[in-house]
Amino acid sequence: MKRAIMILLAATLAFTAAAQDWNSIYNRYSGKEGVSSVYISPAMFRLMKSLPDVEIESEDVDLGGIIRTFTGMYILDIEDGKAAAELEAELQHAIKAGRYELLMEAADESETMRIYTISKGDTVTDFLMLAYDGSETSVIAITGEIPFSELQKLISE
Amino acid sequence: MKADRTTEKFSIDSLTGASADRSIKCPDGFGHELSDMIDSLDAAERIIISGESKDRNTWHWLAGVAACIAIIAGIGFSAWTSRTPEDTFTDPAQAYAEAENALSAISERMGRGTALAAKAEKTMERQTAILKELY
Repeated sequence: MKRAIMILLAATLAFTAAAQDWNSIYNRYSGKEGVSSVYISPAMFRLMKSLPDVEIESEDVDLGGIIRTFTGMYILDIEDGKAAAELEAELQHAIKAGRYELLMEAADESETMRIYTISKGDTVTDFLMLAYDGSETSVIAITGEIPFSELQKLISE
Repeated sequence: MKADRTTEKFSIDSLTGASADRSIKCPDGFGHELSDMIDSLDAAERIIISGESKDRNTWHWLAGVAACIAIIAGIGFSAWTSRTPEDTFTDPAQAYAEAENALSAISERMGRGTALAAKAEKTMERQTAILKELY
């Protein structure tokens, strides 16, 4: 009986650890005071594929091609300093555990920005951008099957 | 010496032999009183032990209940936080526009990063040119 309880406890801990994914992080911070959040689900991205191309005014770039490779998007903008610090600590833990690779880091007087990716060959499956400008922390996390060539368009534009 | 006699050790054999010796007179009722005393000591010991055992069982039970509650709470919290969130937009066109805005923000920031890298590269080229002139 004791052995069964210990096995059950170990399984619970393993299940809890595996549950530290983007859904879990988003659910914990979304709806809090000082936090703006946006979630776009895989189902919504499938609906988008049937839309005609939409262009933003004054933009010459067509981002439709890269958007169609997305399967999920999580956006968090946090103005509360304490929540931002908690989120950053949690993300650093997720970055170390989740095989994220630092793609780019840039810091100037106004902002610090870091971009992480998880890739399989020439395809990026997870994209994460963290930006901190002194008063606000922004997190954009994207999942999908993004060809690296499409991602390079973002850099060149 | 008297003290030596009182502290003399008795072996089991000598005690057995003494009990079998019928020439030694035992006071009337002594055996019955001794038996009653042993029974009362035994009963008292049982009461004490059962009291301790009951307390230990209660603590074990409480610890088990607390552990079960903790496991169930942990599973419930994990399932709650891992649930799929609700879509922010119900209109795909609005969601598409938001995705494009997010990508534009990423593109702008990445552009600033590459601009900084280009600036650093120019600085390095200048320094390299100076070193080449020296040598």
